[in-house]
Amino acid sequence: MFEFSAYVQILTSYTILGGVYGLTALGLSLIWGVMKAVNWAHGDTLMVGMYTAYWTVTLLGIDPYIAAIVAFLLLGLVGMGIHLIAIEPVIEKPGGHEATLLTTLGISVILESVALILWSPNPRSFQNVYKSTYLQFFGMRTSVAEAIAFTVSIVSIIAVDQLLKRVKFGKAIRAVSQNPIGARVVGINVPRIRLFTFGLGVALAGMAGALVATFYPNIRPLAGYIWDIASYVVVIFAGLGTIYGVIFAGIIIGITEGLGAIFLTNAYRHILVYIVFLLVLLLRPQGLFGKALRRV
Amino acid sequence: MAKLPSILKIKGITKKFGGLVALNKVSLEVRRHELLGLIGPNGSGKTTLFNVITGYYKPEEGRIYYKEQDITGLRPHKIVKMGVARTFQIPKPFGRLTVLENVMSAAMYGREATASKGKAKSLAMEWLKYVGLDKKADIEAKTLNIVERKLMELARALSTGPDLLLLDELVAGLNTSEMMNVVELVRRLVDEKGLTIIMVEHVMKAVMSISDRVFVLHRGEKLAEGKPEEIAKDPKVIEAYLGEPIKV
Amino acid sequence: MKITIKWITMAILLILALILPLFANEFIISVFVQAYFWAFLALSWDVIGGYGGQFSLGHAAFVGIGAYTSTILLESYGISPWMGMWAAGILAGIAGAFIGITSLRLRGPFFALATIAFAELVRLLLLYFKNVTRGPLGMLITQTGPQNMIFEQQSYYYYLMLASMITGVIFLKWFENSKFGIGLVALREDEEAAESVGINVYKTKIIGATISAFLTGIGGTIYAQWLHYVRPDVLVKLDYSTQIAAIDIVGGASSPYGGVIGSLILVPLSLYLNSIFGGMIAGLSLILYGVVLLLVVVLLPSGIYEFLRRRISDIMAKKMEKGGGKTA
Repeated sequence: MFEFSAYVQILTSYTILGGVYGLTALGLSLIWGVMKAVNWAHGDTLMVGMYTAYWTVTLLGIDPYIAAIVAFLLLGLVGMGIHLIAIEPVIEKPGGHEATLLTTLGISVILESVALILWSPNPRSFQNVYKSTYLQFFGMRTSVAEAIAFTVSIVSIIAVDQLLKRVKFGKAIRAVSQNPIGARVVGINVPRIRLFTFGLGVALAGMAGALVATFYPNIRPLAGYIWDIASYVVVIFAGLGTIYGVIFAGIIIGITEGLGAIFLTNAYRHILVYIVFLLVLLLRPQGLFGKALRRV
Repeated sequence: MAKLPSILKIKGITKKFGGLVALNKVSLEVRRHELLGLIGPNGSGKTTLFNVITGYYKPEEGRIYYKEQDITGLRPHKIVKMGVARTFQIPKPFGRLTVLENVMSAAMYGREATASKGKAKSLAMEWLKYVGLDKKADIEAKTLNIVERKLMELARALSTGPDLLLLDELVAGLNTSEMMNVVELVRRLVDEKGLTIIMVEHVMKAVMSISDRVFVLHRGEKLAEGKPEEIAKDPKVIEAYLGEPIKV
Repeated sequence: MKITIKWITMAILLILALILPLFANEFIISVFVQAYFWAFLALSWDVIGGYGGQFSLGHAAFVGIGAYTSTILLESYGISPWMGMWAAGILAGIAGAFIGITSLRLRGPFFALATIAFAELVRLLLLYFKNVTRGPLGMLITQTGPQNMIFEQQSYYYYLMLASMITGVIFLKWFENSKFGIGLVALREDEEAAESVGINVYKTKIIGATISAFLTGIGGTIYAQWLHYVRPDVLVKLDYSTQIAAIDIVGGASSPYGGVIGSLILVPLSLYLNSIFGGMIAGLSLILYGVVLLLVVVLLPSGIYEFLRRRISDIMAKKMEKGGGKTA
């Protein structure tokens, strides 16, 4: 009986983590959807978001959720900078979409190295009241920090979906993603839409990083890596062109990771994730919620 | 024209994309050494039919027999090796290979699939000369203009060693004198080289002047079939083409 | 005239490479050992990544599989790496075939991601199966002697790596003009058109990935012999996978020389910077790595080799014109 409840506890934690994966994947999905560009530095911008939260909380003593807003805004600017350096110069050239993979890889290496130089490879974390307060429900417990991160993830995903559907700017984003040439013909400033979309995507990653930082004990320069892979897995798992898909895909990946932790021990939990992921790729390449690709 | 045995039999092909029926129970027989014109308004299913014959699409219903063999659902490269070649509506050159390499690849992998580069090269040069592109053999294919791309693709298709050749809008975008040259070239392929050709064309003048027979598709269904002069007078065909009488 | 200049340049470079160990110190030699090794990996990657256009970011997995296969054969069964390297190549090739299968369904970045996930899986499995691999501690190579590909002096490794790299160059030179090479490039350029000339796209992709992984696996064996140990976290990491791809792209993908040029520029540069700043500022050499990659992709999208080749042929053409020679 004890074992069973322990398993349920583990799975609950990983479900919550999976919801957060949904948020970390959101920005990536948005950027891919609109400009078919890959942001390989996605996890690293998330890492910068973690450090933003760390420093604003420890130095200024402000609330971590205000820090998350700071991270959102700051990384939005960083994202636009990355876009101007690494995406816009290559995106319209032949082979440009593949080139973004390399240019953002360069950005990724630069961000990691700068973080190593500035902040050392040692893991950090900060104390906060949300991490040490717990919620109890149905015999399971979770920290307030994780519960808030989960909730914010879901809310953000819904907000982005609504933005795309209802707001004029969001509709312009959708127009560019569906038909860039047509969007240009009707007078949409396509480069500007790309710039803001990339900024928004990175801002979301920054916010995700700040939220994760409230409960994650491992803020370090290479921390982006594991979130990076998780985000990509979620995006592909969800399939392209689905915003809501990332929530479910995130949770599925989270639960898979939890099952991995139960059956393969914590250190090897990702084995199960990758096996499931590769199998899904082979059996359903369009993702779980994506539309089938058509030939010719 | 004497009645020759058929090379291709299409029986009741249906192809759907989601709810859209692109081809609806289309049947068609093509005889050996025949030049068949395939016409119809935009979206009538001509290219889809080509894609079904050459294995790029799998039909929901119906069978395709090539030289009495069922080729329905075979993968494209297998069908090529049996002697059915095609060109694409929008040419698809291997951009960073040279023109010669483009055409050689067909000789190396096509029906004969020769491993000898020398053999492949001489065959490729022969076809490049035939279409008049031999002077451009050593430049990268992506630098060709649209007319040259179409001709290169024709040479590439021919290098696979086909008996049946499917040409998808070969003369679209050409000026009148270029068009007449190409049309004559296509006719010669049937008369001199003994190929069987199905050509999709929008330019009526081209189709009507060289086809032995014309097949008309309309909204995924067969509308008419017959000699060019019969088709030109067919009221159903005239109506489908927005009421304009077709000038032969 | 152009051809003779090319051959003379190559001959001079080869002679310089052959006599270098005579007057260089151990450190310099070891820098070149690594540069040649990475060049060999970049050339191996080029088969599927460059010519095949399938952007793999999982090649470290094949390095790891190759290194572990020969090391396990050597340490547990006493089989010399001179034999073991072939088994290493074959096992890596089988893993490569799997990567090839995923490439049938995945395009561009999605394929890249699948390869990353695959490499991560390989790393975790190497850690997990402790009975065979000894887990995170890795395995030391305790056997010695040239018959086991273990040498006392750096210079022997130098020649071994040089020979590997030159073999790689010659292989690619042959490969790019072979029937299979042309087929692979054709399908990179346009899959549907490739099918229309009779190329079996599935088979070609899978074989391409297999060849690439086979060569990379052999590279893994040689690297293990140079390191004298194998460890999952050392061999199978994303940094290595990206480094392999980056070297080839910076130098110039789809070319027998691109990987060599990329490696001879990037590897010594990063090792040099590491040796100067490594102790004080970890990560500085990596920044330059990132900056070079970014600059080359934005400014010289076809890579350094292609850029140099065009410049040289432009200069030659101008000289010919001035000299009154006829132009093509």
